Amino acid sequence: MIIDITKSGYRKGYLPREGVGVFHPFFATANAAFRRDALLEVGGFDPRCATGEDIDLSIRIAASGRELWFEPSARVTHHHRSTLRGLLRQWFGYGLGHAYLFRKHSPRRRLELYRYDLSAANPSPFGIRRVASLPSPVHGMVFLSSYHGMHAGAALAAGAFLGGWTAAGWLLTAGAAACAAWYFGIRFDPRRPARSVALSGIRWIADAAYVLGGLLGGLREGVLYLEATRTRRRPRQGSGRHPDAGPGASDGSRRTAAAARGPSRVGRASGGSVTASGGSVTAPGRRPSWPSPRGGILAPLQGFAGRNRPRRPGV
Amino acid sequence: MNGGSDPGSRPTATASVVVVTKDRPRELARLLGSLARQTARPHEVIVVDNGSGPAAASAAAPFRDSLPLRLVTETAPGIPAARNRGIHEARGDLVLFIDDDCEADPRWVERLVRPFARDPHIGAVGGEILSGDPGRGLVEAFCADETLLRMGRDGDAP
Repeated sequence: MIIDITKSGYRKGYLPREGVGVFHPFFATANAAFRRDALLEVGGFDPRCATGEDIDLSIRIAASGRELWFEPSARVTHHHRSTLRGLLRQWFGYGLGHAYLFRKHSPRRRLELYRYDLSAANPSPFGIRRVASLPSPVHGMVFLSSYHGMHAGAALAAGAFLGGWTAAGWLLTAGAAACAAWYFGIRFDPRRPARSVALSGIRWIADAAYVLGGLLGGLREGVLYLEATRTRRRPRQGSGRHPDAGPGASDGSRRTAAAARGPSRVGRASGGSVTASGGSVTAPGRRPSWPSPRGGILAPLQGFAGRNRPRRPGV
Repeated sequence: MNGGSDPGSRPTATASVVVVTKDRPRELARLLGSLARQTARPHEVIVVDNGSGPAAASAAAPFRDSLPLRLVTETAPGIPAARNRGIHEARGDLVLFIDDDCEADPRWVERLVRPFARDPHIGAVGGEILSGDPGRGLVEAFCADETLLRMGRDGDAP
């Protein structure tokens, strides 16, 4: 699921072993290592996963009682080669695969509502909060997002106008416009307006493919599955590069240390600690505690474009 | 546990690198080149060809001397099946996965393996995934901005 087909927001060290609802910490197999005996014990990858087999594996490794450790100094550079068609197929595939993971890892008969919450008070590495988990005859997950808001708002507004409910129509129109402004505006770069508009267009249809994949995958699995990507600010410098990426990383180094680094995470729940800079680990305790909503389904998300799953020439 | 300052006496875990590939000989060669430049030499590098035919073998051939290379073919389609084949072929204590369109930093193996020695409860270690030069295309730029699977937090230095 997930969401954000992008950055996971992990910090160096142990990751929480439970997720926020369906969103679970995981490692992408583009850059991950496992103990072989752990892989054999959990049975390796699930061949039924069209995408997200790494998510599924991480969930099962964590469920087997083992820790997940994020080591940002182990770096891999991924080279993108994408066509629009390949991109859409890929995102559609993520939606399909995530719907399967949701069905596989979440308890039945609940309607889960999520939204993004990037406030500092939210400890989830994904920046996700569960809004509600309701008893429901329909088993499913709905992600509340500006992307869905603008489409739903526009559709409802049209219905309201057609039905003669003019005041409601204008109210819904305003809501849809606010969602659209957020969705498109937050990434707008005034220095490169034409490029911003083009990238927003790509984003809009890529999200459409993603959402559609999730809905159709959910249909196949017998669940309601409405996912969304996160509406994030434009990456600094627009390159997506890591500040330490080396030549070409450019302006990352101009940022102040304070801006570049969140609060260092020291003092894990059970006594272990990770130094902010050097990474020496002392007394690894059992695991970090991460105030996760109860219930714990899990299953998350993500993958990234350019990964070699939908392997097609030119993608 | 007394911290990571004295790892010398611990036995070193052996690492098997597993790469699944299909129809990407040039990218595969680039990846294998980066694996040949590692500060910590892996026990073995297993290339699982998932249907590219002779192209994968010829791309890997130049690295036979510089890497402990093994090439196996998995005819069942799909990444999970190919990766499972890699797991079953692996003889190392640790199995490291990397994609064929990626390039490893020279210290990749060293850094990815190290946490396992510190805590026996660690079952998996993940690293950072950075974006290569996105080039000129808009779709590529979009991928670099939006879909890069960067795992760490925005702005955190590794």
